[in-house]
Amino acid sequence: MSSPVYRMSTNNRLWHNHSGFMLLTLCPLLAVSNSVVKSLGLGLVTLAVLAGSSLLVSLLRHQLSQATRLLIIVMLVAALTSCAEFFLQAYTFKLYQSLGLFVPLIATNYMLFDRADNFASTHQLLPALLEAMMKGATFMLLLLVLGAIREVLATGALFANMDQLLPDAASWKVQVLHNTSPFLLASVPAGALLLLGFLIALKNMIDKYLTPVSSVVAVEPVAGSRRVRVTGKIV
Amino acid sequence: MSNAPASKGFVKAMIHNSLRLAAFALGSAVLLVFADNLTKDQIAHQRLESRRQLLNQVLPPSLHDNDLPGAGFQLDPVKTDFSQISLLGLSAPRSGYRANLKGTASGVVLPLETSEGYGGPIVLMIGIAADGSITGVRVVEHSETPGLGSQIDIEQSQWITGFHQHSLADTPAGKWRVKMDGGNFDQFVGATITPRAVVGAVYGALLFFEANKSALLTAADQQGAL
Repeated sequence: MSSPVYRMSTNNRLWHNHSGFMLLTLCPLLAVSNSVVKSLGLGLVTLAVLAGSSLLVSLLRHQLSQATRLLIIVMLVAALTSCAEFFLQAYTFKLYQSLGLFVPLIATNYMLFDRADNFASTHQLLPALLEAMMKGATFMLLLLVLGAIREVLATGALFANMDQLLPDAASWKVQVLHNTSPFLLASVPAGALLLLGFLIALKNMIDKYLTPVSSVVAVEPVAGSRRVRVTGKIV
Repeated sequence: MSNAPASKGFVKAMIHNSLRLAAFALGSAVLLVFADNLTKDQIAHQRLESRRQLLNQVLPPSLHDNDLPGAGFQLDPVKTDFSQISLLGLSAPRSGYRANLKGTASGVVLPLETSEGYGGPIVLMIGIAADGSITGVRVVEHSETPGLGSQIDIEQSQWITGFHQHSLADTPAGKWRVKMDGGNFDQFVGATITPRAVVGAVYGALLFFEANKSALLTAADQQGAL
């Protein structure tokens, strides 16, 4: 349970991510990432719920039977999301209003079930927590990159309305581009999809540059595995 | 009879799983009740504060000395408490607010809705002073095109402040239109439908105020009793 697991978490989740994960969390990613403050807000809440659910599932993993595991995980994730919603509403009301439906929709984020079901339910506390943090950090990072680029392109400024999240940050706004007309496409979800495409292409280019082709090998399916692996593993 | 032990085991597993599920459900419920209790008051405070801020934007504090959120009254589109309520375009009951200054009615805040927008209903709040002039208009809800129609939102453009001070007295009926239609109010480049909808709704609200002036302002005097 020691170093290999930790290394796997940091390496695999932070960079060598299944691209499928991005697609499964596409909806909040595209809808919310039009400013840094909204990205950061949703990223933090998702991270908190992800870490909380992984923590609970890992702690209680011996109480979960095969038949009830998924049901219980769904219930825990929903309960934690509701708690997060309460706190967001109580302390960052403006941000809660601008995130709108996407806060409760965190409960439908597949990433959360995936980590709780496929990792936390079979691992000890610390590895499960680290895994969740890394996964959440990736999501937040992606949200932030998209949010920053879109905010600059659409409004010419960066870090506007940061006081919605941090009370003392009202003056953080930086005017990056001057005298430009807003780039409308960047502010709508369609623009976010294009931008995400470019980011994934960039990541693939970096991966290709870093990895010699010969070292990509197919992984033998594990005997008795209930899931079919459809991706190759980069060794 | 060989399946008797198996079915017994099945029943046992079912009971175990049900109890397990029930225990987790109970735990989740306790967690939620706890979080709710912890944040309830703060959330109520935030909602009230946000409402008060919005109301003070459409009817500045210099024009009233009562607490607007506490002076609400219901405007129900299917009831006939007020004449010509259809002018407000409401699809469901919403609250209006009465303003007092030194004991006399100084104005009213009305909710209004229009379905003439480009992307679904637009919900607005309008403040009207006792003399019939507009003290402020704000968009509460809209789903207009970002960057184009969304400029009706004060966060994005000052356009909505163009209504201030105007009244039925200073702008004749035919001029409550966007400039493109021969009226007095600007449209945006690339978006005419949204401003047209908002101008129409604001005009409707002024007509409603005019038709119910005595009811809206007289009743305001009794609001201490509400």
